[in-house]
Amino acid sequence: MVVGKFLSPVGYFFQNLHPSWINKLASVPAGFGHGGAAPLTDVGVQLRGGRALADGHQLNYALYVANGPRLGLEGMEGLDLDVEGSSTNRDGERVWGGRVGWLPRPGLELGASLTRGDVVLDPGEMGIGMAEPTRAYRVEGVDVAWQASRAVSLRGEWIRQRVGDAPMSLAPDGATWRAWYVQGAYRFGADRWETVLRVGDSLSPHGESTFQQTALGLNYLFRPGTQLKLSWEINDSDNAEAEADRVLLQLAHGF
Amino acid sequence: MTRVPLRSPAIASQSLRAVAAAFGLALVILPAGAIAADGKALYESTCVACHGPTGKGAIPGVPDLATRLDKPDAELVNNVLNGFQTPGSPMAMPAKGGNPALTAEDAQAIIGYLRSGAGTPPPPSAANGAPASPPAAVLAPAPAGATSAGVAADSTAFARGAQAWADNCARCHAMRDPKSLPDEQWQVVVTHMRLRAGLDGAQADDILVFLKGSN
Ligand code: HEC
Ligand code: HEC
Repeated sequence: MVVGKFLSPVGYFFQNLHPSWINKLASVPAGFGHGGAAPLTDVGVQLRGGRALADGHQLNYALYVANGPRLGLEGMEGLDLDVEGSSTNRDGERVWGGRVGWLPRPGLELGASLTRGDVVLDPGEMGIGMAEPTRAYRVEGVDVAWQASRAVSLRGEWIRQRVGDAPMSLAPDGATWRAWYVQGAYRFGADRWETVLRVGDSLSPHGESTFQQTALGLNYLFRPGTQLKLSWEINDSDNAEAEADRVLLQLAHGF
Repeated sequence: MTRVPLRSPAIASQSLRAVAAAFGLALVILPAGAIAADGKALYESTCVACHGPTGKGAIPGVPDLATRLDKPDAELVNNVLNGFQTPGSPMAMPAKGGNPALTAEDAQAIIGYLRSGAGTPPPPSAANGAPASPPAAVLAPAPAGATSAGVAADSTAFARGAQAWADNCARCHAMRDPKSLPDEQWQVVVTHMRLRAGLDGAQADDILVFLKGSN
């Protein structure tokens, strides 16, 4: 049981893999960061646990009720979803949901996430004096992780957030944020070296968050919590800013 | 794991009577086997979680044992009993594999078993009528700990913990060396990681027994 501000239990990447000493690339997958498709943090109550079932199966769960994201405006009409939790629930609406993971055997995990609830647009200065209607807020996600062999680990995730239409609103149309990635990693050289390939795609109402990405990485593990990462990102987008390719070098250390 | 051989067609096709006879035989043989420590059974209960059934290593950070067998027995036994870490290696070999009940004779028996080619698949149990090895491995810690009563329960928790640790603790991040933290800190970390990993209480307790036994 967790009360307060927590990493959103919906989806897999952000809650379990984003610390830089864990993430195998120097950047987060397309759409899994700020302004992306995956909820990041929230404020509320969460219940987590697991069960070892017969035959070596394992089940784990995380259920939550929380304040949910905040919906704002970007520009005149574009909806902007702030996926970081806040302790003041400005829109007065809550969301609930969670994730269930199933391990049919050690090394293979299949997960599914879902959130339901309502949000109300906070139009800021633009909507002075206007009452905004509630809109449906929905999240669905699936994730898979497979340790294919001692050296090869594969994983992938798909997640989508949707905000419903509200005809009587300042910004009547709803919006969808969607992202996925698949990643393969191969360890070699006495388990010290690792190569990583990640392919992902992010879709958002905003051009700068709509892009495809292929990322390649080479890592050296000094200690289990310390790694040096060299990552190369090839980004493809209609938006000039999001299109830029990047080379990143990161030394990550965890405690 | 115990269930694997039980499912094998060779055993399934045997008549119930033959299986019963094999287990009857096992009961007669085991006490004798316990005096001359059974290297295979000990290996499969205490060491397999890290080193894997063939000694090639079950988790990243654990080397292929075949590459170490050029050292003399005395050195290997000593390193098993006292623990060992190659300078700069990401994970240490815990003293006694983390099993406090392990004696010098046990260690010698395991080295003998490794030298005899742990990597070669065990003979099909139907061929020689011997009991399938995993039930023996599960039973073994009791006779091995017979010198000090009460160790048995702890060492099965330990073996379960080692397996749960190997199965779960490298799912998200590189495996942390059991030696890297003292007992109190493992207590905190395992409580925290139990939530992250979605483990049940019994698994978390076993993992803690293993980690405390290994650091
Ligand atoms: C927590 C995981 C773990 C367990 C449990 C474990 N080992 Fe190890 N073992 C290791 C690691 C890691 C190494 C490599 C250490 C290094 O070279 O830095 C190792 C190395 C060894 C070596 C080579 C030592 C040398 O001198 O090069 C032997 C022999 C060995 N283990 C035997 C055993 C036996 C026998 C058991 C069971 C009683 C056991 N291990 C249990 C992790 C483990
Ligand atoms: C589901 C993913 C996941 C699994 C499985 C997992 N960890 Fe972690 N671990 C994390 C994350 C994420 C962190 C970073 C701290 C945080 O955000 O909770 C972490 C941090 C740690 C740390 C650093 C100290 C700390 O508490 O922050 C240690 C040590 C650790 N884990 C050990 C373990 C052990 C032992 C296990 C097996 C019982 C385990 N982990 C299983 C995700 C995981």
